[in-house]
Amino acid sequence: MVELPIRDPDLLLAKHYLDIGQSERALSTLTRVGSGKLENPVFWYLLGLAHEQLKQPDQAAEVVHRGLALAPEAIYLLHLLRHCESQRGDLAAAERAILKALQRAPEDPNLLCCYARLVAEVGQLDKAERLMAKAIQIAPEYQPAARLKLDLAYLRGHDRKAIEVSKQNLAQHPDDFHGHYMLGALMSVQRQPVGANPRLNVAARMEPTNEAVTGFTRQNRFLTHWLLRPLHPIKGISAVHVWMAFIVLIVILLEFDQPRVADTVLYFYIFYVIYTLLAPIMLKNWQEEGQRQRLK
Amino acid sequence: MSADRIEALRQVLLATPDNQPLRLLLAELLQAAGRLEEALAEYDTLLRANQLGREQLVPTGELALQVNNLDLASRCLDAALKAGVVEGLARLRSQLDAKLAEQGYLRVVLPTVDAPGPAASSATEEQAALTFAEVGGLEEVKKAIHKLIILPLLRPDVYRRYGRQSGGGVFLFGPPGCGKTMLARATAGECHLPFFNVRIEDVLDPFIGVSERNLHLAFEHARAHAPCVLFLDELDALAFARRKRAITTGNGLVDQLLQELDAIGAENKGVLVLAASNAPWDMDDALLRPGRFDRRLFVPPPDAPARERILQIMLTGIPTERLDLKRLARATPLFSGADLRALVDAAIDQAIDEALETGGEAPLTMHYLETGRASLRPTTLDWLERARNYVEFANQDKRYNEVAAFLKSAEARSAGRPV
Repeated sequence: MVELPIRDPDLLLAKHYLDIGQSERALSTLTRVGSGKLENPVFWYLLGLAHEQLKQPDQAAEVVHRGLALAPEAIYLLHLLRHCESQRGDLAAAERAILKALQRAPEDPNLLCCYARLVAEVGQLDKAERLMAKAIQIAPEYQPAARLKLDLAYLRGHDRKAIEVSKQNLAQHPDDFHGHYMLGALMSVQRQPVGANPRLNVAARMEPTNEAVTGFTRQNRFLTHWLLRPLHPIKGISAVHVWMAFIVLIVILLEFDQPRVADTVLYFYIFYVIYTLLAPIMLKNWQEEGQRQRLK
Repeated sequence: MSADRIEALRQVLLATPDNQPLRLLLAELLQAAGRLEEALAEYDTLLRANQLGREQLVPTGELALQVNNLDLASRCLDAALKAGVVEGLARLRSQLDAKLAEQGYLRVVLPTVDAPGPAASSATEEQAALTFAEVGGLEEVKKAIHKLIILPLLRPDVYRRYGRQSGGGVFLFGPPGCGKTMLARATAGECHLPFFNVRIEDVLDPFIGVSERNLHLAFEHARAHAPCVLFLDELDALAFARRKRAITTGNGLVDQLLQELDAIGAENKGVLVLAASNAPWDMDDALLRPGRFDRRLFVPPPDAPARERILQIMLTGIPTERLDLKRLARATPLFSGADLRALVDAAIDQAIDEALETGGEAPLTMHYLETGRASLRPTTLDWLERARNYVEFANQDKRYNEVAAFLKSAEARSAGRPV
């Protein structure tokens, strides 16, 4: 959302609704305004933003173009157009829009981060890094740039670095939803579900309607169910690691001529493998059955 | 020197008694000279001639109180109310009430008759002619409102004995179209109080600080008309959570609202603040602290008997034939009042089409209503889906317990779709 000096009461009300994420109310406010507003590019910007937030990129792009016909150089319209075109899947048009905006404001960290995200989407991670570095150089405390740094580390597959960056971000902005979510998700992926739980819980509490977060949180809670605790006994050690350890132990015992002990360990091994494979399935079934019972 | 000027002015006024600016100057000089009784006599003359400026009404009332001229103070207050003066009105009113109470009188207020309209403040006075009898269902919520709001207003003596007073904030939340605004209006109607509605569009202003001032004026207006009900519609839009905002504009409005609410107990005896929201999760947490909106009531979708009653009300005066509203009510779980309105409208449209086609009268039948029902999905489902996530992930302080209980109820589960 761009800060705009708005004096018109109707547009101000619509902008207020957009600021607080109530796009439908904003849309209904904008569709009620008089024809006098049609010559105002801000009207088209707000209307486009409402459509964009409602995931209607075609309508949004059309509306933004009408605004650009009135104000071809308006950065806020070009910036919005970048997002609309991205949502529509026309990344080339999105790039044209953001480049035009950057021509007018080459030092704007917001536009730089926006462009960096666009190039990252198409896999140009080095270029994205350069743009991000420039944004950070211009505005060292700029939160979207810090988030971008985290996302780029993740996209490069540098999970450990991403964890470090997310911890740094959280130290600077303890209420950053993105930081909590990414840290929790990364820890969960790194097979640290117990450590991931508090982070994901905080993220889910902040954004309970974000499907990605709630899905991850539910899955992680599932993994940390007491019945499944033996599947990740120590931080960073998974069930597969335990399988390998059992096999190594059996081989060593056989090497030391301890077949009876090796047999016993083998039985444990078989039991553990069966448990590893079946326990999550059974638990999931029980939980789903319980949910069905509750809903009946 | 001053005495000479006063005397000279008196002489001139003898010759031109209708020269009001001169009379005002004389009154001000007398006041400056400490001759308060004489000054008030001049102010009184101006007031009677309707020539006292609106900005002078409250100061004159306060001056009158200094010399115990309660009659003049009371007339100044009434004139200020008529003129839509807001600044200082509550203070004058409370001082006058205190003086009258000292002398064993009670000032009789005839509310709303000449109350200023929206131009004077952001609070729009609306008719609160509704009563609970006209709100279908929601018996539990009505009972809670009666206990929390109406009884303390009707029996303040009992509550005062236990250190409680009337007024304060009550927050209604729930899915859209389920009667929150109607309930607020009916609450005012039950108490026979004026009802002031404040919406975000009444308050919001592009100039810095004016939105906050508008909100303040709305509260001042309510204080001046106490006892009354001040209703804040779409509270989430007025006081969106500051931590969720990407930009800080608008935070001043939340701060202002908090200040106004904190003043409720101290300055605003008898001002009952009701608020409603479809998005309680978007409200600033600070609003829920004790003394603010600490009394929260969940307004669920109407249950089957309530839906039947709502349908009865909606179908009154419409030609119908063999309607089984009980069956229809059972077939519309989770339908809000607004959904039922849409259903009835769809059925009526079909009946009209039929009447136009046949040229005769086509009474509304179950067939039309059931066809309408089949094409509609309760709009509350989206809200309940959303609420379900808040119950699961964001209910650490138990603020959504009532919603959680509702989600487990047979009513919620009978909707045919998991919520």
